Amino acid sequence: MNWHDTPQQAMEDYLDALLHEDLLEEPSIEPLKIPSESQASRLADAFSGGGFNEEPREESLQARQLSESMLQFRQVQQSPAENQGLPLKLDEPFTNSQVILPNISLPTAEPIADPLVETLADVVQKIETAQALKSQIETLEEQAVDEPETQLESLVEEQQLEEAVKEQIAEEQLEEQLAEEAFEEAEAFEAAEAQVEEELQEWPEELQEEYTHEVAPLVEQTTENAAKETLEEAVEAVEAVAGQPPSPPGWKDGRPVWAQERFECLLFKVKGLTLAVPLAELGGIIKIEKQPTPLFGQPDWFLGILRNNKMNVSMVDTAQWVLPPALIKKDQEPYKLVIRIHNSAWGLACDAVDRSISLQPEQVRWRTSLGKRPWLAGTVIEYMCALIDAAAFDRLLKEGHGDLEPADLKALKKLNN
Amino acid sequence: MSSPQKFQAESASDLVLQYVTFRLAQETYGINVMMVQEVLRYSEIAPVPGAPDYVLGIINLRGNVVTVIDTRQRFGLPASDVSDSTRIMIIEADQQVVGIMVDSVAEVVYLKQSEIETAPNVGNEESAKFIQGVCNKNNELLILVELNKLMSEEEWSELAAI
Repeated sequence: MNWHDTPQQAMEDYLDALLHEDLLEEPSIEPLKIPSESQASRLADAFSGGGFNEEPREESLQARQLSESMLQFRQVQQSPAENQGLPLKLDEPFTNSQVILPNISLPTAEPIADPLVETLADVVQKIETAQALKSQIETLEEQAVDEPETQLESLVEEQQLEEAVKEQIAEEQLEEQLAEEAFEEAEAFEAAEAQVEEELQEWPEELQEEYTHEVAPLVEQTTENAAKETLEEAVEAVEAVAGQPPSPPGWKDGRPVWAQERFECLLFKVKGLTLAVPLAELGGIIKIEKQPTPLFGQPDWFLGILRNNKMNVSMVDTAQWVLPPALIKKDQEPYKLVIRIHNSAWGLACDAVDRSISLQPEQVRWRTSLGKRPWLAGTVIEYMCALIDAAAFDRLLKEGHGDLEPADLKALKKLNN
Repeated sequence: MSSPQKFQAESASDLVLQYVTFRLAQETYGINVMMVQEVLRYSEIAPVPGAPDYVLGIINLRGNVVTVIDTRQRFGLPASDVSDSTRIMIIEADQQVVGIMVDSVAEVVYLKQSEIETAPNVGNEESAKFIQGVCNKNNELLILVELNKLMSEEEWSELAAI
């Protein structure tokens, strides 16, 4: 990493590194004593498997498989005769042309090439992935224990997430259905082809030659046209899937749902670092007048329970989540405020609240992958702050997910000095 | 409706439980009153060589030997000196009678089942599973402890062998 002289440049490096953590050296930090295996981790792994990365070199395995399938389809289109799946190619011509066509119905079913079968396997694999995501969301629903007054809104949010997953599953099921239909048609065509060949053997030689010269080219042309149509449909379906990477819960088109248009944010300070939380996900600001009640056996970042407005708010040491341990001074002043997440019993402790700002989505550099910090929505260079995805933060906390590494960024260390 | 009748009507719809509260490290904890046999002032505890580190020792309770557990150590709290308010609560858990040493014993409180809230449990420490729930009482958060989970089966067996 290059070192810069000005604190501003250092902060830019820090924010940039937050978004591109994988490009940095792994820090040598002590892991937090919290569960290493959790559903959120599996969920994050499932999402981080690909699909969010914009750079071609980081395209997902799924996208690569789909691209290979498309390439194979194109090869089939260019040289259909070379494909073993194409029917009705007779090597030896018949000699007698005096034939009367028998009253048989020629098959019109569309053939299917092997790559289409491979596409079917890919689609099935995607459906399994989507179903795994759905089952994880259902598990999260079972584990969610909310306050009675907030339970309804939480259910609405969860329902929205479930609907998003269902839409994705429905799209993939449609593609699977198309592929299955094409596969069934191909099987029917092959059966009919075999039947025709058997009947041809019983015909007189004149009939066979007539079939070879007049009927077979027509059948081949029809088959080729049908194959082209099937191929085009399959390519369109594959392109549609490849162009829509899976989104994390609450995200749409590469950014959170609340950031589709101009949105408001509240800036707050945590041990010198400026963070921003969208007002849409802000539940309230609590002034700490009484020290929170600690619970034994909890991780260090859990500061305790704060009673506010007939509600128990679990207070989180925000610095331990967003700052490297080296920068967290033990003798620092206690937190003064808590930013409560909307519809949640979790609150992020902070030193001070700055002001609210209005942002256009284009002003934010949105994260492109979940990585180790799913709570990070993006960074705003203009205000030198990290934008928090409060809903994701809440999910991580609810699930007791703590094996996240805080940012250990040399740029911030430079800034601190 | 008179007050006792009202209380009974409420009790029918919402179970009322009694908890004995005690203090440890400036926090208030509660255990089900049905598990508490008696509360003793601090008396000399005879250490037992080779006993687990969470065992302070044994006391003679009217001719019976009772093992005393270091509650602070068990909860992962820092050690503290014995004071005038230090008490030994004799409890029956997992069919065994043991003593737990606490900073002080406060009172018996009535809690409705609906008032007890689930405590956030994000830790993987063994002690985290002792917490049954939390309840706000008199502007103070009460941490309810599940004594049956205070020790594992093996540890209860160890205690029985002392």
